[in-house]
Amino acid sequence: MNSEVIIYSTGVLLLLGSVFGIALAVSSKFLKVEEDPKIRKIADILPNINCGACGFAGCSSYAEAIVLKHAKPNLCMPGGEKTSKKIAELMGMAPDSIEKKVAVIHCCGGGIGKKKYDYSGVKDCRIINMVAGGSVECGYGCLMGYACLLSCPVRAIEKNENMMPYVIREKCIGCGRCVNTCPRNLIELADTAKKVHILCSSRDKGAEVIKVCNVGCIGCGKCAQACPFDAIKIVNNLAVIDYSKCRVCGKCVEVCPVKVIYDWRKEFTLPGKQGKKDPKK
Amino acid sequence: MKAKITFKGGIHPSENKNLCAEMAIKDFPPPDIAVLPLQQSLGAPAEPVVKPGDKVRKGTLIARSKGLISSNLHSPVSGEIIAVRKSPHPLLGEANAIIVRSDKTDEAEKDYTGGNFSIDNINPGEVLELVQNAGIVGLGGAAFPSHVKLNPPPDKAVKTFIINGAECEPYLTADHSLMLESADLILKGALIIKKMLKAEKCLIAIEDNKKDAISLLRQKLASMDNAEGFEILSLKVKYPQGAEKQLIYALTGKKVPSGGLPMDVSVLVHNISTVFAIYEAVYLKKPLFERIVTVSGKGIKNPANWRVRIGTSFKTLINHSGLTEKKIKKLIMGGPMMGLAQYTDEVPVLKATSGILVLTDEEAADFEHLPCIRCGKCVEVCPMGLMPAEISKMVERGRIDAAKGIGLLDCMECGSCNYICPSGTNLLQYIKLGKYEYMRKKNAKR
Repeated sequence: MNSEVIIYSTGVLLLLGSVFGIALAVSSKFLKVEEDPKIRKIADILPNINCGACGFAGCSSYAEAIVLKHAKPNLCMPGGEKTSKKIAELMGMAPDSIEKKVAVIHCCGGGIGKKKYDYSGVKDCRIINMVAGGSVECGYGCLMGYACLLSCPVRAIEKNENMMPYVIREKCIGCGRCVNTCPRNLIELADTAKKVHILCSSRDKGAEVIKVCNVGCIGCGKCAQACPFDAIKIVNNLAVIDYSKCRVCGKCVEVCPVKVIYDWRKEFTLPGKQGKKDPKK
Repeated sequence: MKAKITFKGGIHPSENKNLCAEMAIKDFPPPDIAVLPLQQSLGAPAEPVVKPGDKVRKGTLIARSKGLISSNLHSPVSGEIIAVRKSPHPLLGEANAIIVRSDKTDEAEKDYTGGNFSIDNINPGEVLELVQNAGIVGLGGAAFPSHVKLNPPPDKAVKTFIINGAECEPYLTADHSLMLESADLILKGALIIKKMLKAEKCLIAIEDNKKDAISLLRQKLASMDNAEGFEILSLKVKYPQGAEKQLIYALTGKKVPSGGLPMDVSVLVHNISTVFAIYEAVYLKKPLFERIVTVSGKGIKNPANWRVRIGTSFKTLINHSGLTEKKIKKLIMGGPMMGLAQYTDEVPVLKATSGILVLTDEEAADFEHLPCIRCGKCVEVCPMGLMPAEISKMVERGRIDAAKGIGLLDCMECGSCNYICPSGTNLLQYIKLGKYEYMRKKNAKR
């Protein structure tokens, strides 16, 4: 091989390398963009799971928004009180209180309710919901396609023995991703302090509810009468708790004839096949 | 011989048309109870003009169209209206329907045989009114009211009128049998539309697997008056050859713009059975209360093409045809590619029901859904030139707007991508979900 080729090519490469190297060095000195060091610090404080609960695209864009656009420091749900305090300290803001939220699935009968047809297509409840109005007779109940379960960034939703999804409250960070995925709008973000929930969303009349599911709210109104704080109302055949009035006394839990009101301070299991009559029989 | 006319992409599913091909159309007895959903066509549901207790005859108007895109509904049997109530609907799950109990006399509102119409001094307004009164909708499956299609705005004159006799869906032979039975009447119907729209050309497009229909129509055309501008074309056998935009491209080389209608390229497409229904409406003044339905599938003992009254329940048809011993997997309205699976056989025949298929385990086998391997086969076969894998992935992740950007709404749901996918991914299901979510968002904004 010709030695000239080697010399020339090495020379050209060396020349190019040094020219670009110098250009980069110069531009890094003069064209430098100053980033506020606080952004990096805040991003380190944030949990970095990019859940989106704060309303920004991810943790780093929330950090940027705090520093540049003066976003509130208490928007990070998974971080909670601790994170909010740290950020407020760093930014010299007054620490705001943060209400910790938890997702509640307002249905407990999806697995035991009456089936409309055997579904054998895509296992995604958003799609099941489009096939002749869902695979369960109840027009409001869970379809058990687990879109919520897959959307959860921290795997806080699991299936119980009845294949019904439920939220593990200790794990839930209250980001609200599952709320938007549910095709039947069964999931709600509630205050962690409010520990009593009605696990049914059926707005059908009582007689129709009993036909298709034995753990459905029949709108009898017993809970509304029992409530000493006037927090429960029957709206469209469905009992709804006004959480601003509820003081978590638990009286409604005892009177409910179909047992769809649950108190999270007590031990309980969601309805399963055991001990319940099969509604098909 | 000239290269066969076709479009780009597409698939070759097994046809299974031999189950009831070339079978003469048989008349199905009128049902005892007819269930007539008010929503028969695209657009707004019709408004009932009768109340329970009213006596009706075959062909009596029972619901009037409401709004621009809507169609009239006529009683298919003579008898008494017993209720207007919610009942199963093949497309919507549940919808309001008029229920008629037959008195078994089958007395018609008027005589529907031997009509009269002079083709030479045709009045477009009169024809349009006849078609609208007869409640004719596109019988190919989409059920778009025909009178709307026949009345293009003045700035979009129709130059080419295409009659779609492709019938590319496997199993279905309803159009084929109709062509064999009433070729001359179809040509008469075609002449009405060609004259009223003053179209230059009338192309009758038939897939090459129906050679007998092609030669019969050519023969009839040769002996017809006013035959100038008519042409019968043989198309390559490929799915979805009968899709409107693909058919227009195959025959004229014109591309309908995204979101546009065939009239944007001065073309009008009608299904062959719609043309026949228009003939009946104009010549015989007969409203649309019966249609040809293919009852087929390997679960059916005697597959056949029936002339069925609208409102007959699937159950009656299936019981009449008999079931085989084989294990039944699915009941489908329409063809196997684009039809909809039904959860009950209580649903009635609609104006848009071209077929009822009872599929067995071997025909509708479940398969494993594996992840996408990015082989690109779906892109190759997509007749609209989209990227189904990308669109469905975006919808799955909830990025509806991004999916819309790469053609979510251009998809016509032919299912070629799902058919060809070696991994058995659920491309079309997610694309349908995307359209549903998009419409939901759009309606919520209003």
